[in-house]
Amino acid sequence: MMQPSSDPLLQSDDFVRETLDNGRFQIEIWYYSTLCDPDLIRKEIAHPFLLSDSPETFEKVLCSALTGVRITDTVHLSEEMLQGNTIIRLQGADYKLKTPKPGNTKLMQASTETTLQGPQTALSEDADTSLMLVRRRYPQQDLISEQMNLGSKSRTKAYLLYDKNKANPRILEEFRRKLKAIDAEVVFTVGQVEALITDTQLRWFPTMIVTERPDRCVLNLSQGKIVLIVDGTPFVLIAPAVFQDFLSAMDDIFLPSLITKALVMLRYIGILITTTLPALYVAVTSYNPEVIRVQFALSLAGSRAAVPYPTFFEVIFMLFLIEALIEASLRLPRYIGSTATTVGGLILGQAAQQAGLVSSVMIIVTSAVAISNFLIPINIMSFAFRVIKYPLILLATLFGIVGVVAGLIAVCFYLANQNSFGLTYFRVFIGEPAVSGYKEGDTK
Amino acid sequence: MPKKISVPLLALLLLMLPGCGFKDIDKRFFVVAIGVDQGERAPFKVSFKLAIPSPRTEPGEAKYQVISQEGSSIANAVRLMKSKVDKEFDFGHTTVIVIGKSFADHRELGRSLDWFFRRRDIQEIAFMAIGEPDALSIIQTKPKSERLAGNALMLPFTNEGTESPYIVKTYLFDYYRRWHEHGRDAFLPIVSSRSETFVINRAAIFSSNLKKLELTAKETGIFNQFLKTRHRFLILAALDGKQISFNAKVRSLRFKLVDSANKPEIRYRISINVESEDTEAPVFHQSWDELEKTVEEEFRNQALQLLNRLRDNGVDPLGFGLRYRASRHGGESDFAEWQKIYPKVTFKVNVNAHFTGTGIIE
Amino acid sequence: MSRYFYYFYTVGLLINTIFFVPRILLSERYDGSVMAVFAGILFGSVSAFLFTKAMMRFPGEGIPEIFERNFPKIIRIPLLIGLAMMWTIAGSIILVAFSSISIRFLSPETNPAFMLMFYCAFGCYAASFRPSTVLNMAELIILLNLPFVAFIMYKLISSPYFEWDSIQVLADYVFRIPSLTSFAAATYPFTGYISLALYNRLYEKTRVGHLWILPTIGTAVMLVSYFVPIGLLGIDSVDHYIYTWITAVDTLRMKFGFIDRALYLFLFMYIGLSLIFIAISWNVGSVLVRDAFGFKPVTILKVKVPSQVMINAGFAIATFLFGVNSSDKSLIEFVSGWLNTRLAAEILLVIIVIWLSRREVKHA
Repeated sequence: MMQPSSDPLLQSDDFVRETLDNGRFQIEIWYYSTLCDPDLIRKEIAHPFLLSDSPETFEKVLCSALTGVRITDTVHLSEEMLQGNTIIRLQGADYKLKTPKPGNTKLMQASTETTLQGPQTALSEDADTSLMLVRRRYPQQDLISEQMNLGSKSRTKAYLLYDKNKANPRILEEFRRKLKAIDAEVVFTVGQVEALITDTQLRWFPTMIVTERPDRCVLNLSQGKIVLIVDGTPFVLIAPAVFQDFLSAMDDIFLPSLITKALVMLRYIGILITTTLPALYVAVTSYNPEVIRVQFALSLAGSRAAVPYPTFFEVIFMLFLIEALIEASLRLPRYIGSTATTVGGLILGQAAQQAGLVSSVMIIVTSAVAISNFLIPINIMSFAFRVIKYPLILLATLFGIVGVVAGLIAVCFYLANQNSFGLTYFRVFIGEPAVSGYKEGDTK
Repeated sequence: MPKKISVPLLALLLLMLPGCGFKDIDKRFFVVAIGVDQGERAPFKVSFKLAIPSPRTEPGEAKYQVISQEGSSIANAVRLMKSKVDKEFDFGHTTVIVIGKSFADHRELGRSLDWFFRRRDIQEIAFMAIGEPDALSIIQTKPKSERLAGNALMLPFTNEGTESPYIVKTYLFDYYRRWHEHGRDAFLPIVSSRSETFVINRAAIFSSNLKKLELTAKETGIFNQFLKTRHRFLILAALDGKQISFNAKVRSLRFKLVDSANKPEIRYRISINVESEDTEAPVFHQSWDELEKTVEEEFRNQALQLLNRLRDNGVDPLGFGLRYRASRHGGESDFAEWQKIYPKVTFKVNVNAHFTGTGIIE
Repeated sequence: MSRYFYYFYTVGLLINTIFFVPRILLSERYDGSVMAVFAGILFGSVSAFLFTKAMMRFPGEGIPEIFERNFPKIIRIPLLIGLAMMWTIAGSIILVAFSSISIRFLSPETNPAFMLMFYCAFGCYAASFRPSTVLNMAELIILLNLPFVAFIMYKLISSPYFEWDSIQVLADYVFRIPSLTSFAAATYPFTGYISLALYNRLYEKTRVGHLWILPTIGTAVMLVSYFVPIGLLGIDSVDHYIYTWITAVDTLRMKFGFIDRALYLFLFMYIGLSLIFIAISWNVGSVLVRDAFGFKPVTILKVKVPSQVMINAGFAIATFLFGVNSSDKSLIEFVSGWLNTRLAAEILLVIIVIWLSRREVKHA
């Protein structure tokens, strides 16, 4: 079956092809040494083989082992091996045995989505471990996991998880269909999956949640949502998701309800500030200084007196700096990151103001914008909101406050027109079942 | 699709950029107060108090510039003034409009101030006042404590700062409606300047845009109690030869028109809460009923004096005529009828004082 | 879902009781417009009630479908187009008016044509969404704005400058026969219920309940709209102001507000309300036109453009041309004339729908 030199299998140095002989009969085993666990092979294959006195006995042992299966379809042998299987050839018949080397199953601290007093561990990069974490928290036989491989080359292992009784079959079917239709060579992250299964090219607001928290997975499963675990990333994809979902942190469940309500309100106010404040600054200083109190108008004018450029340059300049800072501290190693923030935030701001490049009020605006942006619990959403302010600034420059309000409403229209698997994405009363009673706008 | 459309759209927007009305806050001159005086060569002399913004504001450091210009109309003077400054005037924060005393004495105030009523950027809630000796000197006054230009003149009116019973206030819209409404006359506070501070404690009353009557400070204090924008005030009364100052607050104040054919009456029912504030003898153990009576008597006398004076001068700032129109059903003839009745009206004031306490000592 | 019906009704009320209606009514306050207000409330509520009841006989159906079953093409198309025009013009008038208010009070230096173009573009954009999107947005904007609008109204009425005597003067003039224009103006704010003609499609399972809300909010908003400016601007001078309500709100200073002039808060609220009103009315108009002719999407430069977008673009261009050539004076004259036409059209529509619903019952 295998030609010595032409077969790509043999060109890999980590491919092992061994013939074992116990004096009574011979077997041949093939596996990738890097994918398989030698201890397991020794325990499950070599040891029983040594004790077997005939091929029949060995075959029985093999098939009685947990995952030993006789395979008839020899075309996909290499694929089986790439999944971590060992192929055993015994008297012309092929058997496979799952002997995967354990992946990175170490549990890590949740780092992108932390809570104060909730569970601290994140999901694992190993899909099976992640699945284990979810199952432990949701021990229901109705929790169905469907395994699939994504990507024509990478064949990344993925699990589709849902509660059979709660998930909407229409959404489930649509999700499956879209996953099947994925046409990419390699798939490594859930965000990529999200991009691949979204129809439109221009994506702005996330319509699926990406999270690393097992508790969020379980909560959403119990709400009838569908979770996709992809091997190799500690993040999972949850669909469908509506706007309000992105504004709920897991803390909301365990905090007293009044505090939760206040926090959710705080997030909405944060959104409003982070999107509109720079645009309002431009509109107020350049079109409608009569809106604010005279005392404030005068100090605003005073703080701007040294700035030679029109407000929109000032705003764009400062916002560029702050965006650059955020990006830089994301990419830099953690230890340098904090230095960059200090240097940028404190020193640059101060110096820019003293140099007469920006007004001191603008510094306040910029920091308010940056800080309130971080109130949004889910990262992708906060990225989405970082983008909005620029078109709004343009509109403010052209039309003043009218432009800001109209632009904001236009964005809301866009949001309201989105949908996530047929669910209206953005509306006031969401009307979804809420298991923990945490969700904003739940009317029941 | 959006890409194809958005590129030309964006280009179009950027092309429009120069066409928009973009004017930065530091390129504007905030006119915080406007003064209108009788000009020497032209009918109007308009003065602006322009606030000069500075990044740091400290008490007494308010920076401003005062410019004035004579012109044949207010609009004309403003146009001429534009060439005297480097920035664009912004009237969005004009909160006080001061009219010079001689202007107010000799000119009618309605049509000549049309510019203020017509401009969209002059707020309806700008305060109008009469300046003594003239508007320019009021505008130029620089109080020691002023942090921002114009604040010292504005805060007494907005009630954000001091709350004095002697300060009456008139908004621009209030003046306009009183000018046009039959049966209610306009009044304006009088501001006079004392080198480094203002005194606002009198009021002038107008009828058909002409100044008819000037109230004294004491009368103004009482007059203010008849308005809804009243504040706590002081009643000085003597009991057994000892003077007592009462801090008084009007709880309710109502009037009724009673018109029997030849004896028309306006009946006031006023109830006030009083507290002794400053006494020459302890009052706690005295009969509170008697204290109340004394206050009632004193307040009634002052009120009657004021009301009679208003009637005798033929002015009606308290809206008796309007009430007459509202409560009689003769349609258009109501007001003419009222004008005949008003000079004959007698006032009855019924004061009901409630003594609430003597402060923290007896 | 029936709450959406009330959102439209409320938007219509809130918008129209601010712009032209009070001005038309107040200019005739001594000549019978008090009676017009009461007659308008009665007429508006009754026709809203009858129309809603009649439409509920056609669950999940809009006027285009109902007409299709009952009328031949030759009658149906003019009727639908007429109805669509009614809606579109209602939206366009507000668009032109609000554009001029924005110019006057918010950005006086901006080129009016430019501002108008912006509003038209927004209208075209917002009205081209699905009706359900417009519904959700209407809900959002109403719920966000209503508390503020209510707060401002409350502050106005409780203002020390609010003069009840001025209002009582009108007592002498109640029993006067109103002119047709003032009657038409007084019925206009109620016209929001006509949106049911199209959006009834979305109320398949639910029926519009709580019909008592119709006259309740209607009466409250109408009375506030008519009497508050009188109380603040004076009975004899209230008609001097071109933007009656804007000036009336400017009489309020909020001592402790972040924005001390209530006018600006009010204008911000009304930018939102006006935009959503424009979106709703053009949305209804464009869907009606599309369904009347059964337009299909058009392909331009290989891009499939929904016909609704094309129709709305048409509306936007027409409105722009109209707006550029109109002034404060010509606009109010146009509106007065238009209100009368609209009243006739509305009565006709209500009668047709009631008649059809009776027939439906008989057939069933």
